[in-house]
Amino acid sequence: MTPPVSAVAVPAGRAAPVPRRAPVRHPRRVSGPTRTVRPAKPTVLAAPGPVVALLDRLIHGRLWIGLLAFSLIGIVAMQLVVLELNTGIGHTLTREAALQRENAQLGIEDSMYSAESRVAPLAAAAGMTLAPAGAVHFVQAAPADVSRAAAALAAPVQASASSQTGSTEAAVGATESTRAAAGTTGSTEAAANATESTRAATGTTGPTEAAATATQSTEATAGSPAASEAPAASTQASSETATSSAGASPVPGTTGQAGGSEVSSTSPSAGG
Amino acid sequence: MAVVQHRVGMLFALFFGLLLLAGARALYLGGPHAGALRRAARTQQLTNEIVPAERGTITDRNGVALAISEPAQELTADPYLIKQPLAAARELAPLLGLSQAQVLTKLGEHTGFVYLAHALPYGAAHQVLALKLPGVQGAPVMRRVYPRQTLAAQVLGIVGSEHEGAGRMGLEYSLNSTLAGHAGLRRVVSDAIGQPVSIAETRHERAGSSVSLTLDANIQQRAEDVLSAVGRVFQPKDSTAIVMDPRTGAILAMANWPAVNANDPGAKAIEALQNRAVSFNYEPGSTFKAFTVSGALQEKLITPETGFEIPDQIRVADRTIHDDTEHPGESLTTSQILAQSSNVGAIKIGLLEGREKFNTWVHDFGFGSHTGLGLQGEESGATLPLSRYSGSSMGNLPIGQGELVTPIQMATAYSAIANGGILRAPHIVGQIGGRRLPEPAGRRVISSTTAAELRNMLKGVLAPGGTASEVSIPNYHLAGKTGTASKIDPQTGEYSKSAYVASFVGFAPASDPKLLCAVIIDEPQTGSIYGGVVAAPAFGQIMEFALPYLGIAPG
Repeated sequence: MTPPVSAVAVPAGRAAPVPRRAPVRHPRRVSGPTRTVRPAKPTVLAAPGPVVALLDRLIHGRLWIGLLAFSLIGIVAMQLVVLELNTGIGHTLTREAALQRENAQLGIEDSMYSAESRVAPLAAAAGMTLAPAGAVHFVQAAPADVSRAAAALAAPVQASASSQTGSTEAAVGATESTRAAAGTTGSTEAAANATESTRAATGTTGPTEAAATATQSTEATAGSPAASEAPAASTQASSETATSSAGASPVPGTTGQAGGSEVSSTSPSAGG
Repeated sequence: MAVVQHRVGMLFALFFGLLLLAGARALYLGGPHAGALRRAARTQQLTNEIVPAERGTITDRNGVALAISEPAQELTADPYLIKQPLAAARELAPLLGLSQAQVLTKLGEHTGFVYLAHALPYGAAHQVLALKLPGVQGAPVMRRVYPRQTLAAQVLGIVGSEHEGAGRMGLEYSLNSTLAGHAGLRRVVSDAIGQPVSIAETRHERAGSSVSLTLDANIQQRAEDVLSAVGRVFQPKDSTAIVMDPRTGAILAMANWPAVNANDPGAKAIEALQNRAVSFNYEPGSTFKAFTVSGALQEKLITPETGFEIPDQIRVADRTIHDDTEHPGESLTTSQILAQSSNVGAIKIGLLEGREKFNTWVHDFGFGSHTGLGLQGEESGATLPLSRYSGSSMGNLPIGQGELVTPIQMATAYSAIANGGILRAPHIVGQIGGRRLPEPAGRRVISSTTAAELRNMLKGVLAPGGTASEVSIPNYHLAGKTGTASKIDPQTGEYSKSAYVASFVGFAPASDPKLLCAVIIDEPQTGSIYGGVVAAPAFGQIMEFALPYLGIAPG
């Protein structure tokens, strides 16, 4: 290390050395045009603004360490979230595929279960028969039939509500068997509807109606707004025509009710 | 101070060295070793999955699924990677539904790729893949299922077994662009344990549109059951039946016999897959007489009560045509000619009409051209051009000989008589993607008066004395026409004495028809050959079910 100038000792009796002056050197002449000397522009330094000051404080303080750590942790966390999201997408896709399979399978089963070849024997086992073409009667629709049928429907619905305290299982069974039969063949459906319509029209709730009333009560229960839907169902039932003649009753025990009674059709097109 | 500076320098050098090492390693991995790593990553982490498009569902008019797609797996194997083929075959065979020998044959092939199954149900495929046999891989595909198996199989058709199976026959073929969607492509990056860490849809999958037909599954089933019964009794070569709404042209049933399981079309000969309702060309015989009469009625040449002297036979040019049974000369009205299906009477009416007008009427009713149904394989029949009429042509054309028609042409033409004179193209597709298709407009071919007169005359066919008098449905008035036509013997080129086509086309209620049914039985072998005996009862059985089922009031 070079000692400072002040620290150099000068021996006594010796004059201080005279610093050597460098010889004056004249610049070499260069050929060419004379250069114009431009005055140098003064360097202007930007005054430190508030942002610079803030950054300066940040990177010189402990806050900077925390901020950096937080950012790093945030980046890692974000990556993890993205990974988790992708895994979630994967699971969702798997679930989607499973639901798609299930949906297709249910569609296939639905079609198979509603096939006549399956339902017809079940209906036959339940004592139902296909109404012969000649046994189905059609009547002309009249405007008053709708209100009459709706009014007549009130009593069976109330009765069915009270009958819910009875055997619910029997009701469900009756409903299913009736629906199965109705889905099998049109005639049977018409006959089943006829049974309901007959009850609606006559308003009777005799003992032979147990199964049929149970059917209605279950439908009303399943459909929830029983009061509002029941008349509509009745209208549809009656618009789908048909009274069944004796012997063509779809539900055992309802022959006496259905036989010989006529149901008004509310659909003008259905009328002959 | 110097020590600290020295240590800092060392630390710096250490980290700098580590950095250099890391950099060198990165250069090595990203440079010389990059290809191998990329390949490894592709196979281990990156997969480009095909997302098969769900083919649109085909339903009947009530929403009953007739054809539906379900996810399945296409299973392939690399036999070179399977070290113990015998053991693998033993495990795979029951799951694939094949014999061990069949699987062993596949696994024994000297190739790096064999198909184990084209579209195995997902459950079975999952079990196969769970075996983790080396070289056995699965790819998602869609499998076409026909839940009702034989129901309307020839109408629905079949699809191919390869990726994005395209329709090969029937509606699956005709509506392929509608039913088939577009498969998607998904890029999946998985981690070391196979969990996806990045999923990107390279190409979005688009499902096909669903199609709702005008067919009614219950009427279709009944028609097929009836044809099956006819097949058992009369043992024909094949048969077909069409049920349609004559007012709209909507096909409610289109049945074929012998039946084919659409899920296993290979089990029957390819001919059994043909939809004969549209592809069967046959000489209609007496069912054609209704059009001979309708032309003459419309031209005001005759009335239903016009009387004709009918001898037992008639000579036209060089040809002598007999009635079906020998009889003395008799006087018959136009109505009686139709009811008793007199050949001589129909020829007399045809001669009265003249060849030009007759030819015009034949084409006006749509014979000789496609109906517009749009089903794959539809034939147009064949009619004799007017320029090629010979002297004796009017001796056989008016009675349905010398021209070829298809069952759907006959049903369509009879619909015009049934609906008051409007020839309307039949249709079998009701809705596509939930949107109802417009019904064909149709064009008038005969006046409503002529149509009503014809309907009234055709009632006589099923009345006492008619050729189908034994067919009746309580409370319903039926109308129709029987047909018994000899087939051309390909050996002799003459009309056969043993091969016939028995047919019946009719509708109900006769006064205001709402349902029409055509039954065509090709070459009944046992029992009878007559349309009134073979086909008309089948018509009656189908209509007996369908009329009340559809809520059609008697009339």
